[in-house]
Amino acid sequence: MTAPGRTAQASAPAVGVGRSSDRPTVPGSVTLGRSPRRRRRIETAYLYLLPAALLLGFVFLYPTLQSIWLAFQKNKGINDPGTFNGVDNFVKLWNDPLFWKITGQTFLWTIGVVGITTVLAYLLAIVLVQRFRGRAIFRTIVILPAATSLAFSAVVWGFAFQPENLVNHTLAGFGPAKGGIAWLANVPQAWVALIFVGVCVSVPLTGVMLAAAMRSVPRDLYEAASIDGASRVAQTVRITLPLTRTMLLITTLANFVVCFNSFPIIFVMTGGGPVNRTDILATWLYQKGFQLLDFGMASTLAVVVLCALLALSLAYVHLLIHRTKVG
Amino acid sequence: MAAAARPVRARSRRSPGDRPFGLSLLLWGGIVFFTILSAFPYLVMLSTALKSPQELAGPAHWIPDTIDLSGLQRTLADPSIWGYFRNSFTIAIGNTILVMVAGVPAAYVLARHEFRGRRLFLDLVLITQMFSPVVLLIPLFRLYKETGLLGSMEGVIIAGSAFTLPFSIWLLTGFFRSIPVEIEEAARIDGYGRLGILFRMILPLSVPGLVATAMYAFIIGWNEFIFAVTFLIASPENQPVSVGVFASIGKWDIDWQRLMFMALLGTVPVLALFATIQRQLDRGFATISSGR
Repeated sequence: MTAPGRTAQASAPAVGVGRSSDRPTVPGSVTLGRSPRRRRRIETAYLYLLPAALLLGFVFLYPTLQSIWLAFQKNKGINDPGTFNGVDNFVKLWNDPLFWKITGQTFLWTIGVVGITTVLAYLLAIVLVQRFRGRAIFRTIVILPAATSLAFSAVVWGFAFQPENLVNHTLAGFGPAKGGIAWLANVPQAWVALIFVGVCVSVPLTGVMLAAAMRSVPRDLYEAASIDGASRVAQTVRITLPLTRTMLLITTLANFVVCFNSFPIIFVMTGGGPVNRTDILATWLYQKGFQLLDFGMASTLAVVVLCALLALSLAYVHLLIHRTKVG
Repeated sequence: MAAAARPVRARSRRSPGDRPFGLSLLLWGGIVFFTILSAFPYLVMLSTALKSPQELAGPAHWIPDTIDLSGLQRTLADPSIWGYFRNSFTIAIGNTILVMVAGVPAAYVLARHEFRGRRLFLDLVLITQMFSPVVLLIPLFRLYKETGLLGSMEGVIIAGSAFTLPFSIWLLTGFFRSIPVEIEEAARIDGYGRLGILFRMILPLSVPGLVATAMYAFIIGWNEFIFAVTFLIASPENQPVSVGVFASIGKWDIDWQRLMFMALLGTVPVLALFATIQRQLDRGFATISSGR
């Protein structure tokens, strides 16, 4: 892309001679070189990016820098000017057993939701690419949770998971009726309920994305395989799975980031309780910041979470760029 | 565009007739399973909204004995509900406008022009996807306090649209790319400048993509929760429906019937919107798997 721009430099003196001089040499994209005219074009390109850059800078860049600044302060709330205390917050966090416990919980939650979601979404995608009566209706119903606010979903699921409520009632329909399980009040079962809801809200979009990838697998591959006598299961494993690997990678990583950051489900359903035992880093951070008003420590935690995610995101970008070429 | 869509449709793989019985059974098992999983919250909303308070106090069951619409009456009679919906609508529209104003020009140059920093910008946009709103809440809270945005819907719109923007830019870029370059070449020969090309050629040709992106931004704005619950905590008059529903579960005596009607009214319009843009989103997803 850059090479033609350099050759165009030879004819650069033709400034203002005619429009023909700035006609792109590469069909398909306008290559911007170094002539004055072209430089003006580069500047207008930046002008087009300006509104987006301003918005992203205001919401992402400046607050991130503020967070880093606050992370090195003792700062208790909005009216506290704050006092610099070096790496004290980081040391305190490192020595806090609760931090390690909640980090563990964050991974339990994230890996639980993403793992189950990936498997179920792949099955959903297989169903979505089949032909059957009522397919259009099915596609619409199945995507519903993706369009619903997580706050609504969490409130409704939280209601249904009450001990005397519909989840237990429905479960009692299968097998021997057991006494009501207090889903959200105690720990192992609260995680079961939360991860279940997390999976329910993540499966639809993931399934639709995987189905889109499956539809772009050339059909003749399946025809050739059928002629060779490969079973449907073998076709799925040998053709569909390898050819949708890129999308699987993208959705898994995207879900990982989203779940790691996930806030509304846990915030609404358990509030991190009982006593921090269903907290993840995101909900704990919120609690520190807006319930305990410890802006300093909360910012330290934010910086730690950001660094972890930045490492993740670099891996993500790297994989996206390099794997899409292969896939 | 029609030519691009056709092969995708032809690729709906198997015809209904050629499936062995066992696979049919598995397929229908899957269909039923996923339908129940997806529909469950809506069934809960419906079942609860239609029961009378006495029935709700009794043992749990799915089918209401009698259909009781008093919850709907209570919902519609409450003036604060209208405020919640008006605010949700304002935030959703504001989100849409801001996302389109910032997203369309950016997506256009990113789709059509090669310039220094393009790659960097795309990477930065991608990296913003790794941010959680929660991580930015404290600095944004302080920033909003200083600038007077705290407690206002504008503040929620600005923060929310920044989080909606990256995916929107990416969607729009895909739509702009699908317009043949020759059209632009021809327009350039006819003496149109870049802005002229954008407004006279590209935008009219990409109306379906623009509409889909705008609807996407609207839905995200409508569903906004985290920023609203944090920045509008002390300004109940500016809260959207999602916060209204959440706030009412903290109360001592919860009117579940009314709450479920609110949730239904808060989700159904958006579901209808989403169903209409589903195909465009599908096309967008298909482009990811074929590389950017």
